[in-house]
Amino acid sequence: MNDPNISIEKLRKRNSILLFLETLMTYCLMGVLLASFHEEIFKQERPCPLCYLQRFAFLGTAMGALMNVRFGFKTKYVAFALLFSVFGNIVSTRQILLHICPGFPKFGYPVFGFSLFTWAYFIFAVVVLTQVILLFWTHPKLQEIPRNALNWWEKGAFILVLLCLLGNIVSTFFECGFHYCEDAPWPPKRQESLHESAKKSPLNLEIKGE
Amino acid sequence: MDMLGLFILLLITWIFILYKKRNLALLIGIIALILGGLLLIHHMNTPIPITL
Repeated sequence: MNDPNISIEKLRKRNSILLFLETLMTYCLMGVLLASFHEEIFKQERPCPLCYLQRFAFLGTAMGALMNVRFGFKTKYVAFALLFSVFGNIVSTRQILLHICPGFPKFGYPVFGFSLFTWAYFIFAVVVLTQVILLFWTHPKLQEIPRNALNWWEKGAFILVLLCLLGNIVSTFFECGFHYCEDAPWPPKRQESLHESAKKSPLNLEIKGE
Repeated sequence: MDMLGLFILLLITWIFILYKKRNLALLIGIIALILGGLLLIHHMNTPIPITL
């Protein structure tokens, strides 16, 4: 794997594959963030502070990948992404522990049987594994290869990260303003208003079950 | 302002990456991570109800 007599062609090929994988990982991470925006906007699930911290960790991991893409593949940028993904793992573990005990209130609607923070835990674990595999596959001479200009695939990743970042800034501003972020109420307002409107109707309807 | 500040720090990191200021990008990113860690510790004041 770390052959000292490796040819420059092989090095360049390995470098381009590593950069492609880093860009692909950025797209996947932003896809997860877009899915969380879908839950927030269309299902009206207000994010909690720990959810925001997990989004922050997703974006930080993507920043590490973008550094590799922009400056060339280096182990310090992989370490940067690893730090953020381990941080995200800790946050999602904390949230799983909060809601796993019997009698403790549930938070959020499940997606394919798991809560969103449980999915976040799995994704962070996969990201950590991916980064470790990339580190195994790197080569000391790889860091000497100069970085060319960005292609359209890499520019797209940059723009997508910026859009997700701005979306999170707007979402946080409308949720918390310039104040400290408080815990979101559960169940969300959509479900409460449904119950209230049913009770207030002239037919005196009653919705059974939660 | 806590979460908003963290996202703004990441936005600054993104700008530094775009303009190839690698050391500044790393520095701001690490500062954001440390502040995020402190925020997580602050949110850990809710006890986990463990029953044995």
